[in-house]
Amino acid sequence: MSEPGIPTEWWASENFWRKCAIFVTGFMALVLVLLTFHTLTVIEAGSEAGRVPAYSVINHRIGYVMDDEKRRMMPVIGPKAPLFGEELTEAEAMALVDHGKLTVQARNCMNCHTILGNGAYYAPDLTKAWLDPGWGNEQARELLMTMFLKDPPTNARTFGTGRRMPNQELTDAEVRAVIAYLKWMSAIDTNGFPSGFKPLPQGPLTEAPQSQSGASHALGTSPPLAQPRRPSTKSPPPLASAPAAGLSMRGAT
Amino acid sequence: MVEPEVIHRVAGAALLGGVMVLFGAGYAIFHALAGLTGSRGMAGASILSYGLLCCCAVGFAALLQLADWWLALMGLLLIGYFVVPRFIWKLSLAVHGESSHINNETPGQATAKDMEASRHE
Amino acid sequence: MKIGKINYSELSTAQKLSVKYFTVAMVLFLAQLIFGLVAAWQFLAPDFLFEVLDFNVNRMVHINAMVVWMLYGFIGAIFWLVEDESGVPLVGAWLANATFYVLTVAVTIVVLVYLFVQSGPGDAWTLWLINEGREYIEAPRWADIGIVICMVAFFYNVAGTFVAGRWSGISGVLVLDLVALAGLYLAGMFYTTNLPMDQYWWWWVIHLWVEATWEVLVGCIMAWGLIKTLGARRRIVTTWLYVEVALMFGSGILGLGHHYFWIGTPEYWLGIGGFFSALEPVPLVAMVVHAVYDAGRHSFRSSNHPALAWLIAHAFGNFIGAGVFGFMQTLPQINMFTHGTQWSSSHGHLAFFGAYTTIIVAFIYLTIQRLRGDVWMSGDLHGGWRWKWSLGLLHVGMVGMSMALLIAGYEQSFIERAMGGSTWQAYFDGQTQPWFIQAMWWRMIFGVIMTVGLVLLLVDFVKIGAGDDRPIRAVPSEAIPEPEAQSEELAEAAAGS
Ligand code: HEM
Ligand code: HEM
Ligand SMILES: [Fe+2]
Repeated sequence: MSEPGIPTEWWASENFWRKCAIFVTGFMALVLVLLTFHTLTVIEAGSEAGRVPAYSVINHRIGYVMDDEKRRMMPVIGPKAPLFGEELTEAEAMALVDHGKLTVQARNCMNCHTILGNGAYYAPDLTKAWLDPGWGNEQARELLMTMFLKDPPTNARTFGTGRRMPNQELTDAEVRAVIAYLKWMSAIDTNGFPSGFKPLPQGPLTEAPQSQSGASHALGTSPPLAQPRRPSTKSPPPLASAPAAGLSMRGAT
Repeated sequence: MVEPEVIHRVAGAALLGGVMVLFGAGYAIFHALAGLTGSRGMAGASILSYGLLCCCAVGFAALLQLADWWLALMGLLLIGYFVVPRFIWKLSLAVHGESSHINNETPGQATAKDMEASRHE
Repeated sequence: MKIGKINYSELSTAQKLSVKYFTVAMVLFLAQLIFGLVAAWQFLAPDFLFEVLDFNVNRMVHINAMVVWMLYGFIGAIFWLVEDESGVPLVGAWLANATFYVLTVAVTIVVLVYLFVQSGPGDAWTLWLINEGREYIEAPRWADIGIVICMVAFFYNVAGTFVAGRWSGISGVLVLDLVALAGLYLAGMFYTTNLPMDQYWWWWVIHLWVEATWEVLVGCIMAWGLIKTLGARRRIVTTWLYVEVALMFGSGILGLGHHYFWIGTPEYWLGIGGFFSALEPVPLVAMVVHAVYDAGRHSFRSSNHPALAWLIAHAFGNFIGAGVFGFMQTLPQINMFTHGTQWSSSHGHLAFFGAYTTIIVAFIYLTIQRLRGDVWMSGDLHGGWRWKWSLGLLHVGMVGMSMALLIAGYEQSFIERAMGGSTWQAYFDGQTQPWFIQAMWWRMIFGVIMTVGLVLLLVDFVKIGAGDDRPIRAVPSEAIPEPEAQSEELAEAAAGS
């Protein structure tokens, strides 16, 4: 296309670029749609690909270990370790996780925390919250998480920032559901994010014949955490003292 | 835990990456200015920018220890960042109906059409 | 039109609507900064408004006000140009007016509910009525549906007007882009238990908005503005718009993959996202090259200096904020350590401001010139210090803030991500580093500077051109070929002969 007096090369013409724009946009959109179809089947909960676990994964112990072949951290689904000691069917587990996710959205957690690294930067990432060494050990974890979520300001371990989590007035059912959601979340294969994360000490991740050959290679790498010392607060939060003492290098504010 | 050294390399690479894109713009802008003014200095600055861009890219790849696909990607990027600004410049000229160089309008004929030719965007 | 006086009643229906949209947009912009300041202050004094207006509420209002005011700005700009570009009066003016009020009332209700109800029990009702709890698109489902209805009405107004009048390359791209923009919003409107799936679609809205459809929308608005204010030739501008669309969508659509590194999605996204998003600065560089070409061929005798200055700010801001700061963390090897830290915040601030705030402000200056009866807005303006100072303060504030956040982000990736392995303890270790805390102070200080700049900008919007009786510096009208119905080639030929 050219106009009188001002010749235009074909490759600089309006017509050519219109076609280019349409073609490029159409092509890229098509590729995206095809990839989307594939990705959606892969990230189906409990799909073959194993990236996003079935909801009943909350019946199991979950580890996070270095995968030597992939050279990155991977979640590992260990032996049975039902959440709150209660084994659930897939449907029940899904209902529980679903309630947890609804609660996390309804309380707008994502505008303080990051979830899978997305969200706000005012509070810690929740991707591996279930596995956080801050809970001390496997036995204490469920209780401590429950107590923390029931009354976060009192149980805050602010590590010297003074930043406390406001009380979300969660019901008992919501607390359980949120914990289930976090446990399920920690089993999502996030391509190694966060890198270098060391989970809290847990029992074996492989079904060992009898519990003696316990320490799996994954746990071998995590140094035993300091045992609870005295809580360092003036108004000792009765419940969270164990992890607080185990971890805090600075006193609570 | 990741070694502190690793994160210094990563953060260094991030900054180098940012600087790299800046040099990409420098290369492009000087190239355009060289075309506009015909100045050799500008042309030199453009090539210099691109050279610095390459240095950044090498540093970037080394810091991140890129290999295989990722190295190829850097290669493609280097080509892309070299070719595209040149192409865009040519395109600017061609779209405006100028074949090679500027200032080929007849001086002293300040008609509306002339103004038009020099007053796009 | 009386020069230097407000000529609101002499504007067309669509232009009056623009003024309304821009007014609400600026109110929301101010609200955005105020809530941003409160949130920033809470980093320094966490007890401030604790359990009254918590951080998550302030932050939600901060970013939602931003998204909404920018959309209002785009709608305002489109209403401003639709009649001129189509050559006929707005179709469905009554509907357009009603839509404005419905939308604004809805936005007000949403914000009041955010502020006073804040959150609800963990069930679907909360998502429908109070808050969806998904960053950027928190608006409850009822509002989503309302927004979509308003968008359909808006689309009817715009597309209908072009159908009734004439089409051009610009309006064609604009209308298709609006379809995509509204369609993408639907991707963010459903609930699923599956978190990776949730975030997969969530990014369709966020990324494909800001890095694809919004960029092209801005391209259309800018193309029209260049023709009108600098007398650029339509064929050239249109060709250039197509080039931008090809480059922008060519890199930006699959660049979406840079958000699919760590959310449970397959590994091939590492390569695809890394590659295509690394190309995303290319269209931005291209724009800079073309701008240099034009600047060199054009003596910048613009009829509206503030608008031109903000346009230049747009070209650079878009390139630096999105291109440079985005590229810094777009390869997965780097993003692993910067993901979800203040790096993202640094880039997010500079990019949104550089790419979108700037262009909307520029456009508002254009509309004010008209509102004041095509008053003089070139050099030697009465009270010209105001636009210069507000521009300066806003930019100093924004650049300073982004730099502070970058330093904080560096600290955070170092202490929390790398050394500490991203545990809770590590997070707080990062947050208590002196550098981090200082950066938060600087962010606060620069935030105040920005807010002062914004107040001055708003004052300038009210005052600029008032009482000045010099007419606008003319743009050579021969240089503005009007598009013919259906055939631009004809128009070009006519103008070129
Ligand atoms: C005007 C255009 C852009 C805007 C407004 C913008 C805005 C944003 C925002 C707000 C975020 C943070 C999202 C969150 O809350 O988690 C973000 C993330 C990101 N952006 Fe952009 N962006 C733009 C362009 C670009 C470009 C061109 C690139 C690449 C070259 C890029 C690369 C990234 C990356 C890699 C992230 C992820 C950061 C993370 O992992 O946390 N952006 N962008
Ligand atoms: C007075 C000036 C401002 C202050 C004090 C401020 C403060 C803040 C704060 C405290 C956050 C939360 C970050 C976090 O989660 O840690 C935030 C987020 C954000 N702000 Fe601002 N802000 C200001 C201006 C702006 C402007 C002008 C824009 C855009 C035009 C903007 C866009 C954003 C975006 C996109 C986010 C989300 C970033 C992300 O998730 O990565 N802000 N701001
Ligand atoms: Fe993106």
